[in-house]
Amino acid sequence: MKKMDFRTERILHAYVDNELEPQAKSHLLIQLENDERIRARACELQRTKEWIKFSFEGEAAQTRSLPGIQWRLRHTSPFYIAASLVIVLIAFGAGWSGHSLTENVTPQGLVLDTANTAAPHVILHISDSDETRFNKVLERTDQLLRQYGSNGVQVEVVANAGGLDFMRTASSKHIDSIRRMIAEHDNVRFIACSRGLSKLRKLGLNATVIDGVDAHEPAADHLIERLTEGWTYIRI
Amino acid sequence: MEIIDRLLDARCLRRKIAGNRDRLYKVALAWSGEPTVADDLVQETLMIALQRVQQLREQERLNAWMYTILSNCWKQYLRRMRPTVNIDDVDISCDDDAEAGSSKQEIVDHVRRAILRLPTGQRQTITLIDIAGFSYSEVADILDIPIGTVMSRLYTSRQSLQKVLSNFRAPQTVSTGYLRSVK
Repeated sequence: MKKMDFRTERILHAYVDNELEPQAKSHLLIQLENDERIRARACELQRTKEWIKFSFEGEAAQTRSLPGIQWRLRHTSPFYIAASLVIVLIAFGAGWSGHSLTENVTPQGLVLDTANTAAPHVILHISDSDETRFNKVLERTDQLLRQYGSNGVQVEVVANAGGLDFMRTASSKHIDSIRRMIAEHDNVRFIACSRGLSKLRKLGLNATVIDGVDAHEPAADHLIERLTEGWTYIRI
Repeated sequence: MEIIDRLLDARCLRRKIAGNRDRLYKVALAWSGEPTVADDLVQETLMIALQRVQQLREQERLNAWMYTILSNCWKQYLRRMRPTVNIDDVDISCDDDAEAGSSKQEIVDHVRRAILRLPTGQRQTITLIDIAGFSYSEVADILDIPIGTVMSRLYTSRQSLQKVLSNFRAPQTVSTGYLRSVK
């Protein structure tokens, strides 16, 4: 079969993708009626498009729920919304910007406005194997606990991917520091991604975590849950 | 009342974000070819979207915005996993020799493999259009490329995929005269 010229080819692609303007489309439809070659080519393109779509038709993500979202959507009462409104108003009144903290915006330390809000909840996320970052995580955690301990701060350090080296006994240089923090503070948790650890095990690596580190759920699931609950997220 | 409306809007947006999981997964799977990688990419995308939902100014752009995030997550993944390989240099030729009359699953497997052989840009473009159902201009926006590039990538990638699919066609009716000449 003789190859279609480039312009016609593009028009046919646009046709099967429903991208043609009405006028161009009507012009092409007439061509399709009269030219078997163009008709065959359009049919071929449509078939390719349909196979691509069909090849992923039945695929669905694992049934990993977004914890917290569905439940809250089903169970939220007007009272809860009103209470949320009050908290939001107070927070705005106190001048709280409401956005997550990042390392860039708080060069000298962490500042959480706790004046009129509930106890601050902060999640620190580490995903790189980098000693400088590990030290920073410890420094920030310690800072938060000291600075906001009396406000009932809750801090969680979540590690996944390369960040797991921070919490694995085989690789961490901070075993004593982490153990000490867990022992001294009830309001701090260290969480290692269960899926990441499982991958390490499959590779034959030692995936034992430091005593007291929680390793029961995937990091992403936990982070999503905390974000939907309104925790302040800091990526280190 | 306005604040309550905005609160409800935010909740509605979050629900929409969560509801996009399967659509994102199909595209992530087409890009990566690995269910676990696809799942991680989708989780990361959802997480970032939930975290930054307040940055979204036009709600009608939610879907495209989420695929932009997915695309960025995918780029990061490629950088982490294959730092020294330029994915666009991957050979797109197809060696699969499929026989006519193959089963549905066989065709599906071949199509998926053929998609994975496409250079990243082409793979992203064709899947965003054919699987996710975006328009050319939306794909140009998501991938931050000119619309002409979208069209040329689409053209090239479909050419490659058609070669694969042509192997699955039922054999053409051979003329009697030809058969006689064989005998």
